[in-house]
Amino acid sequence: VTLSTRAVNRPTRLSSVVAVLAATASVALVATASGQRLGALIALAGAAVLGLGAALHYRGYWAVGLPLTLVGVTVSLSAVGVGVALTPSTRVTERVELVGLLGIPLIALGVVPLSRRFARRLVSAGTAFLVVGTVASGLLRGTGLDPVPLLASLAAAVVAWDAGEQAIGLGEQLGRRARTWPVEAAHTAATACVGGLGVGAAMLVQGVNVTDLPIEALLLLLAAAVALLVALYE
Amino acid sequence: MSDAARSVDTARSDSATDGSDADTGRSDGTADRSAAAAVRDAGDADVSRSDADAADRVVEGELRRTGRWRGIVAVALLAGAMGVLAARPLVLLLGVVGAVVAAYPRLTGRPRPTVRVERTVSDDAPSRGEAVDVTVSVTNTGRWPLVDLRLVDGVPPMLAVREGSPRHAAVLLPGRTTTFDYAVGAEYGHHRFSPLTVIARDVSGGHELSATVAATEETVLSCTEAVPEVPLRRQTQHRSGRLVTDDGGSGIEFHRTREYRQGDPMSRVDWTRFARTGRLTTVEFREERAASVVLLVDARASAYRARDEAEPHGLAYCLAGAEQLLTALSDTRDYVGVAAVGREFCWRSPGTGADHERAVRRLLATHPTLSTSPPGDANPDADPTTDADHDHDRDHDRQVRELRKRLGDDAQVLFLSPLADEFASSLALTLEAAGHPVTVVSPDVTSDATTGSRLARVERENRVHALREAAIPVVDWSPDRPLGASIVRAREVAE
Repeated sequence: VTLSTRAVNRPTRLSSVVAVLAATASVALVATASGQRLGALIALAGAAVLGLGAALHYRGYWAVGLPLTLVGVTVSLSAVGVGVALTPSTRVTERVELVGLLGIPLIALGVVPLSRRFARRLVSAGTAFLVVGTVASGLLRGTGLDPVPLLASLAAAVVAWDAGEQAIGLGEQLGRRARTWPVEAAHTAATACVGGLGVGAAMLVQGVNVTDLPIEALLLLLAAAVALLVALYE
Repeated sequence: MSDAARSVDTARSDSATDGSDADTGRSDGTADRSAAAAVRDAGDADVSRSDADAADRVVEGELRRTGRWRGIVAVALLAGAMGVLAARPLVLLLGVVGAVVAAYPRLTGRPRPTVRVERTVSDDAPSRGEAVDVTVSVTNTGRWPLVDLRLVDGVPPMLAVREGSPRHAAVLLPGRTTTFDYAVGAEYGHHRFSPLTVIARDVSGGHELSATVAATEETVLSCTEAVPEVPLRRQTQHRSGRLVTDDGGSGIEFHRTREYRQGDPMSRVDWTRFARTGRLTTVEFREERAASVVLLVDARASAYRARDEAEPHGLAYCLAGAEQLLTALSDTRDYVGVAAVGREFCWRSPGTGADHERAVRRLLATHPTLSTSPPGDANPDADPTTDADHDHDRDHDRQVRELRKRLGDDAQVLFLSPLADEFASSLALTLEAAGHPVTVVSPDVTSDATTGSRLARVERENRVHALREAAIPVVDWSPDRPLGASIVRAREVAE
């Protein structure tokens, strides 16, 4: 009789979907080769199957849902393998960049969620892979790269993490039955704007052209930046 | 989520300051939950005036930093360090993006919501099982938009939500109202809605304020139905009333005749027999006396157990049962009192009359010992065999001594307890041994979901058997059924 009283404390839908899409965008933005793009698509498709399987599972059709969930996870994780197989072994850079692909299934598992206790950690781990992928791409490609996709990739990773965390937090406090989408939309939109601002700020800094400064001034600037970040952390 | 980052915005002067130092300026602001709770209990915590702007009514509560953006600092530092080490300006630029995002929660203001809450119910006196629609409207009475407002309505613990959700999230512009509704299934008893829990976050989610806001008018659902009979024991007071005793005296039903004793009233002398035999005999009738009943509620931590999270806990059933028994008893001339053992001893001595009944009802609804939220354990993870537990036991023993002192000689006890531990059954035995007839009314809140709960169920059954062995009647109340049916069944079993 009281079945319906139970709050469904799973991460909320909209933010979960946004998290997975943003993670895919983060990978796709730095992807240049067709193998990488295909890998991102496969990872996204796997995450979608995983979400469908989980939805069926929680609605009671676990006989269908559970296998579907497993298939989704496998497909999503195998995207890295597909990417590696499709990339020629001579192009190490592109292979290293594929590490970001792992972020998509991890975030998807975090917002499904695989385990309520580890939901936040899964999302954080997924974001870590996305960030490592982006940074690795920047490191290996050097100076010849258009900076905007790289910066946008990091911003997308931040949005993915923020949406995932928001989905989990709202799920804990209000559950899935509550109407939460306006708050999710407002929050995610604001984060996306801040990400855009960050990209803009970075472009401004690049435009200033600091390479002419003496090394002492650069070091001082760096120390100031670190001090600022430490202060923000406190 | 660190404790040090938490601060309690309790003092009114705090809300008057610009908020710039509310977080960091108070070094003693470690998570003082009890202080925050005190503010909530104070009743006027929902609306209190800020000195800065007298027209602004600010929701006060616990303001804390969520710290959710801290990880971004690590991202920024990683990107910056990699950029410097590898001499890649592009990667250094990634650090700039990270730094901007890390600064984001610093730039958004602290949430200082001012809201008005209204709650209406479709029927405040429903019959049992009826679905009652509850509509809650929350209006932003402040001047700033509330971008992340999370609302959880205080549904009474006995009422199950049938439709919709008592939880809601909204973006509220100044002056706008958000409305949500849900349906609850009515259960027996008086159900008071608790204040709405409001969680307001700023747009970045960096600060979170949680508070409770009472509705402008209190909402109470009354679903009363008296139980057909109250399971009273035969020992009574010497006041005339409802209980038919085996003692001869004045009454209606013939009891026996006996030899005349000096002082017997003339009207009771059997004059026909005197005319026939010439001997004086006195007719005795069955005496009908009033009982003095104390409804004793077990409100210790163990009484807050429930079948599962979504279902009402034992104390909620005990309170509903007490309400029903009270309704039934107040139709009679019996003296009714209330006692509770739990956080603190709660007592109202037996009495009759409408005023007394009202006072008892108020006590059942409002006494802190009978609060429907479990006693706040300081650290629930603590080892159950620690000193705190012994302290509790000692405290409960003291309360039982106090109860026995106040019970007097002729009161009988209706003990409402889920019998979740040994203390409850031994309390019943102690009272019985001390000469107070005890009847136990025990809602069954055990389940067979896990091995542990099956064990708890067996233990409870053993306690019920042990009490029945000791000639204490036990009404084993399965909450799916009305209490009245369980009482009748228990009586049939006993006879």
